[in-house]
Amino acid sequence: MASTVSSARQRERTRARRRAFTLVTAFVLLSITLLFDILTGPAMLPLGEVSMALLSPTTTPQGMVSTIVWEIRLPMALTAVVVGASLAIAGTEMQTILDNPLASPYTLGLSAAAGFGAAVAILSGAALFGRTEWAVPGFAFLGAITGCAAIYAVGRLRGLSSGIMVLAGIAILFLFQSLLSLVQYLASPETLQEIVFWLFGSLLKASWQTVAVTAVVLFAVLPLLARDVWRLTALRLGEERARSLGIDVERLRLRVFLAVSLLTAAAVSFVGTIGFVGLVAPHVARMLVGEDQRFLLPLAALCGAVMLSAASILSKLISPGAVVPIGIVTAVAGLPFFFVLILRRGGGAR
Amino acid sequence: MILVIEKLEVRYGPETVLHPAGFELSAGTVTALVGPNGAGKSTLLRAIAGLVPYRGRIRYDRRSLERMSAIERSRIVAYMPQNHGADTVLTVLETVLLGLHHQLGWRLDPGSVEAAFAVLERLDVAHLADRPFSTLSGGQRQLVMFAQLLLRSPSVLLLDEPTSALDLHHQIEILEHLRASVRDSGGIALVAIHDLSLATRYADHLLLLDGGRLRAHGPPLRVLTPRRLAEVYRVEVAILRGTGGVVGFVPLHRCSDGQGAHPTISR
Repeated sequence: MASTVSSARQRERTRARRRAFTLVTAFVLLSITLLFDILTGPAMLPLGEVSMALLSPTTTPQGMVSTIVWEIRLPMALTAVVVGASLAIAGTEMQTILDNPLASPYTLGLSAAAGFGAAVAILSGAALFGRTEWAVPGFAFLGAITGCAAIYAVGRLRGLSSGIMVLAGIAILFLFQSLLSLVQYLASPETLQEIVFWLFGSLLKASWQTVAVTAVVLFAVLPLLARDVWRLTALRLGEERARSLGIDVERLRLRVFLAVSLLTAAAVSFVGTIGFVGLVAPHVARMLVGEDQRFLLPLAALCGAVMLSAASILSKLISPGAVVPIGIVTAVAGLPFFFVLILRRGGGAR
Repeated sequence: MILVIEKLEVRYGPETVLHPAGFELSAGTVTALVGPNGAGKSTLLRAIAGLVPYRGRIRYDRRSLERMSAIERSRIVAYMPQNHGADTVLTVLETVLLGLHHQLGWRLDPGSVEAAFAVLERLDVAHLADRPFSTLSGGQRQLVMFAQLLLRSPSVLLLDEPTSALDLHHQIEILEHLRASVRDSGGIALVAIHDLSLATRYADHLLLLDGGRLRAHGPPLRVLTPRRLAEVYRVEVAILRGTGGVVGFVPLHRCSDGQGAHPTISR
């Protein structure tokens, strides 16, 4: 028995090292995809010039290259990283607090709510703080927050139980999809085209402001979630068991839901509807490091960032000289992943 | 140290599932909570753990549990539910460590890990340490959750049918550990259990619940009389007395009117 115990200790140490190695690998992978994302683009710029512009932005003689790299590619690439990480974290924590493997910003209707907000802004030609370019993300943000508030309000009626919140999310998804259809029905062909393009989800709207806003929200929310890593891990044992461990589950659910609502709203308001990342990235991370949130949270963020960064590269390679909306790429590439997850889950349940 | 329950009452809407009950549990003792299905055993345990709203007062060491925060209360009172169906891939070691979640940081201190291993070793399940919880059998899950309970080393241990999925060996093992732990630490254990023989053997006192009411409490054989068993369980029971104070309860047949207790059969 003593040797069995010592080998169990050894296996536990190996597991910890393997998890740390997985995190480092994901970080290296992200660095590589980020670099490739910056190096590729419809302008087909020579790699040497892009690298030069990247390394010395002020001294490069090619002004156009520098502008493309620093004003278009870098903001797009960094937005992909930050938005991917944000959606993945939001999905991970939604799945945790709602105890539902299918929960994500997309499946709970928050992306649809943001889409409705954006569509209203486009249809009405509204301005926010006197600036029209802020209206679409601003209204999208408000839409997503309204969706979150509605889920919260319905959930509150039944003590924020996970079941009622998931049902409320599904209802919100149908409600905002219907409202979105109504707006599209009322829109002129030109406006409709603009709305549909927003709904595809695209990084072309990215700017340094986008990076700044989404990154600020992400780095503001991360420490809040980090404080609760053990409580969130304990929630995986079931609500009653977590409560018997002295965890105020209702409060935990509330503050994590508020945090991920903010994260989701900030992420989708600038880039539009991007599905699958928030659903799939948490599952990939969970398969690799398990459910200890100390590892799951950072790895899910890295997985989400890698997935969106890779999707960004793909979106530029599919059709040379053009950029396919990234929302289409994540949906198409995410589908096989989704099926694999369903099949694995079905097998595991037995 | 003493746990005092005063006029404890639990209602689910208009229905009273636990009628006002009062009793005291002393330090270093194991009390078995027995009664038929739906008698209110789990409700009583959950109320003491603070998991369901209740009326009345619960005091430990003259301190009112109602005035404590959830985390403060959980350090004194630990509850082990009967349902262990969590579909989680957390490992056994992680599951046990969660008993100390309030003192764990981002970096695990080796002391906590060693303490978790030590308690798993005591229960002979350390070899399962890196297995996902969801892959364990029902009995293994009970042992792991019991390990988590012991790691917390609370003053009051509330266990809801902790032996229901265990084989004979592990039934005795878990109850012996519980009794030793309570006697060593001066803790208090309240255990809901269906097996009257185990209850009689390992508990110092018994609480008999029926229809949400506390029917009797006291030493096991004073509580479990043939007449009372017939009234509460509606079963005629033979009570067998073996050597060394071992007592067995054999259900003979149902009695529809709650009457007709069988005389005790001595061996």
